[in-house]
Amino acid sequence: MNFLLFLPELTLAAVAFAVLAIDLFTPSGKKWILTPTSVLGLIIVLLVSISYLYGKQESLYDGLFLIDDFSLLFKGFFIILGILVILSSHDYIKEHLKHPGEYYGILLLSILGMVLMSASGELLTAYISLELLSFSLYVLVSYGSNGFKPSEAGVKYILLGGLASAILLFGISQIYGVLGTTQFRGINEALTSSSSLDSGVLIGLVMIIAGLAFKIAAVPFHMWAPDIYEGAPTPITAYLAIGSKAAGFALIIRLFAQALMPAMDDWQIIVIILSALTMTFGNLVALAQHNIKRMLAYSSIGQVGYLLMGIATLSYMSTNGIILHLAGYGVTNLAAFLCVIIFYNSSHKEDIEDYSGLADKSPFLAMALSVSLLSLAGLPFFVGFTTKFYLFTVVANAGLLWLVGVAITASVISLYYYLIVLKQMYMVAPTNDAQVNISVLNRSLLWVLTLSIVILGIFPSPLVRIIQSASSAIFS
Amino acid sequence: MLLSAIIFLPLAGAVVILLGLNDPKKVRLWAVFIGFVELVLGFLCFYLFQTADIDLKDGMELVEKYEKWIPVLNIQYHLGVDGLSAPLVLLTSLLGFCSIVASLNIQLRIKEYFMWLLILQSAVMGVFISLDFVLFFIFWELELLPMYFLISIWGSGRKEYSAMKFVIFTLLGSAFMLVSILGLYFSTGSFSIIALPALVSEAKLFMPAGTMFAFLFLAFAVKLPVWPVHTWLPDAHTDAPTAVSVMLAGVLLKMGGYGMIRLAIGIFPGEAQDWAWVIATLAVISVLYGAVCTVRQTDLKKLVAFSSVSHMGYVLLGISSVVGVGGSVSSVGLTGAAMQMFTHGTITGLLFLVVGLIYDRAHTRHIPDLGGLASNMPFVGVAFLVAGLASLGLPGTSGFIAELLVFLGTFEVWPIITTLSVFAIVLTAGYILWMIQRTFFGPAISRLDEVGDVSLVQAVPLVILMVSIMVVGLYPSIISDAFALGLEPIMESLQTGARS
Amino acid sequence: MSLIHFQILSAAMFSIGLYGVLARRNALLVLLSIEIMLNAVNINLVAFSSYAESAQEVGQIIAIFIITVAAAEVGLAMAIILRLFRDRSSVDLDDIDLMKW
Repeated sequence: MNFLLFLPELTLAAVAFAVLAIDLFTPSGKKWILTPTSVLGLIIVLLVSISYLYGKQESLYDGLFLIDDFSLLFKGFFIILGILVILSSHDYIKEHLKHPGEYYGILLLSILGMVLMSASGELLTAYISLELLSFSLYVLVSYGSNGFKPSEAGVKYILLGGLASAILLFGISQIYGVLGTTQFRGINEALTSSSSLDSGVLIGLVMIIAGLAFKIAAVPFHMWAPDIYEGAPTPITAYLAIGSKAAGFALIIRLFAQALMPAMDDWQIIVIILSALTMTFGNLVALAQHNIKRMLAYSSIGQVGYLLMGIATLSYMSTNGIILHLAGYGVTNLAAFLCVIIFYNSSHKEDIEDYSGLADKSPFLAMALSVSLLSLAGLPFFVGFTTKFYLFTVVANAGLLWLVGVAITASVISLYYYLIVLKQMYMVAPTNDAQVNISVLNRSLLWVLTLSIVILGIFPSPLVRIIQSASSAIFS
Repeated sequence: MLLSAIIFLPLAGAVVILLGLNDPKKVRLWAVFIGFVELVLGFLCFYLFQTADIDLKDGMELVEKYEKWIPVLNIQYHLGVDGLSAPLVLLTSLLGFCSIVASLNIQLRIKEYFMWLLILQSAVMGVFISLDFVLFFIFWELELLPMYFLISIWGSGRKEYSAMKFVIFTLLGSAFMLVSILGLYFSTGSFSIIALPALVSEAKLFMPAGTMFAFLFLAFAVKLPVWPVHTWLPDAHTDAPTAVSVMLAGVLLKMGGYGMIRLAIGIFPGEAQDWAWVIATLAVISVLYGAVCTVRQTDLKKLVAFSSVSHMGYVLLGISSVVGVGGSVSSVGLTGAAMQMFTHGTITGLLFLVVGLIYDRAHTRHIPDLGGLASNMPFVGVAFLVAGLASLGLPGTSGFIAELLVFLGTFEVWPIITTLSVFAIVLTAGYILWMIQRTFFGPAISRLDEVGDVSLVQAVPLVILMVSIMVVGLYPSIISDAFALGLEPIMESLQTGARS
Repeated sequence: MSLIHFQILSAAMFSIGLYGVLARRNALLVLLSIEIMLNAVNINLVAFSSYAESAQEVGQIIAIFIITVAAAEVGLAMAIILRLFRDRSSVDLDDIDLMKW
């Protein structure tokens, strides 16, 4: 067994502990060096992974960890996301938090959790890495300093998260008890050989789906999301909305494609119902929101509904669709949240009403927020349209055209609440005189994100090629 | 490269305005410059199309194709013009230039205004030129955004309500279109507008063809607009700024008619013939209902807006002739529909311009408050007279040719319905003459003594549109020949299903 | 004693725990109910691993892991609840209502 294949994960853990340690020895005036240190560490991990793991298809510890293009792609995705989140937290941290070392260290550990989730080939491993991610997030969510909201969000998150874990575990124990194995490969073989589905397995299946649906905030297991999104520090909200969802979907894709595929007839209908509920409910409730973070929370619940359509028709093509939409949605949502962070940093406000007249105060910020919201709504020329169109086409092609019809209606509804924000920015006179200052770091980050929204929207093909190699690793 | 240039020149112009230009004067000059170049390109495109040797197979000219745009889904960057789209490209470049020139007096947020106006022009051009369904859809959706901003920022009255209503109506329509596009792709594996008609007739369809046709028809009917989904139009037209009303009435409505002919009928000729009686009924309701509503209006702009509903009903009436009679389908009705789109664009564009000029000077659009304007603004009066007479279909103007072709083509097919529609002409004559008489003639109102005539710059778009109305009226075959040529492939596919 | 007895015990404990999570209003009691659910899972796993023919000993290993993770979870949850108590002087879930839709 080649333990060197595990090098990126080990390096990542080392970087996390190193950052925690450096924090102890740094005087309070020089805490800023933690940001470049973490980013540098992540870049090193990224380079090591790409140069060392590209094209390898192997398994570690007898199938506990799978090294393939799929896990490599998600590794890259999570690390780049981590870099962007760390960079966009820099100003926020400086202003609002006292212990940046802990924040960055725990953030790095959660990245490790996500990386392991996408690489795990066995249920216990998946569970442990999921908990590594969740525990880090419980802490990060309750980190903020804006009044009582963070602690409230933290309590809600950890209690509901614990409940979901318990349900997930019970499902795992059922699967293990009946099929006698927790390895994805073994589950697949056991399911293929048995002619009909044991009721114990069915219970386990339903409970696993419920537990995972909680983690990705699918209706009706979504109720934690808006509160936690609102209460958490905004960079963490962005991280939750993109990272933990992407990790959840990485696990779901691998689990469903490599382990549960033979039982597709049994779980397909559950996923279809979840998907239809999620996209309608998420987009409808978003209409009634006043806080922009809650609005984005519900909008991202809606996006989960679209992604679940891909799971419902799981195949090579729809895996491409899911990953592509995850990537597009990640870039877009990060840009949107970065705008919210920038606005909050200078005004300490996060209601949609407070965005009035932003076009006069900072045309650039207003434009970037408009671009990202319209991309979320799926308007053409932005990446949101391209990836959504790809996903819808794939799902329609698999025969679920009616579900696509529901999704299209949901995205028509969604444009309405994005336009409300645009209206506030462009058509309403400013109601407060808060100035908007954008630091050079944030400005350049925002430029990069906005440009990638447009460029990926027009030329998705290179990205699609990378994703194709990843999903062919799953369906080989 | 010509077609790509036509689509992306305004977009590039908008980006330059966004990034580089701050001085209002420069922004205006730049926008006029871009509009003018676009006008030249539009004429060049039409000229090249007219002089080219037409490849009779699909009739597409100036084709540009990049097949590997998004290869996984077989989405291609595919542009081209044929007889159906070339005149509409010309129309768009004409009205685009006119509306830019007519907006030079805009004072509020000039930079953004011209940016959105140019983006709008790009989107409309893209719709007419795209030969890939996805590309078509992209431009179709892209047009919403500039319209939303243009109406809700620079409009008047209940502008935000109207803008939102416009967006929601169009979006609902395009949701149906998207379902139909995906259904077509699932059945045939292709997004190519040229290839689809043949593929659909052979393929096993995933969804009943009638449903897909109905979805496409609905999407375009919202845009055209057809009764009963026309209600966004009077609101949007009335509350939009003048130049935007010109674009809206002049070219955006034509996107609906174009889509209906090229896509709904082009891809599903059989279904169109099955449902022709519905189309004809909707058409006559639109024509008559629109005309009756128009008669009741006292607001000049609302009057012109409602008259659009009635006039676009003629387009639908022409389309309903596809079912044919006596075993063959004549191309007269469809040609008439296409001609009506072109002429309505120029005529209504001119009417909106004149109404805008009156409102600028008299500060009211309420007809009873106006009167005797002809003595103070003779030039505007002439323009209004030309547009009005063309609108009611006076021989010698382009309106006459279009309506004549529509009625000629439909009368054999739907005698009763056509006869009913002809009554609308009487109403049209009534409200147009009444409007001209009440505003420009009659006793002068002392309050309006100070009102002056147009400046030289403001006269430019009026002259351009008047000339095009007269030219097409006196020599219609420059446009109608092109349309007839473009309709040929569709006519062929219609012959087999003709009603005996 | 057969496997089914353990399964019934486990299912009963799981349901009791679930009821506790839904019915209790005190954050600490909710946390304890979650622990009961986790222990139900442990019983299930250990029973499967010693009774079921097909199962390997993995079940006991998983149980040990779950005990460890649960311990960490309790520690973390207590810390967060403590912070809530400092902020609001209450750990009643009905009192934390700053955010609602």
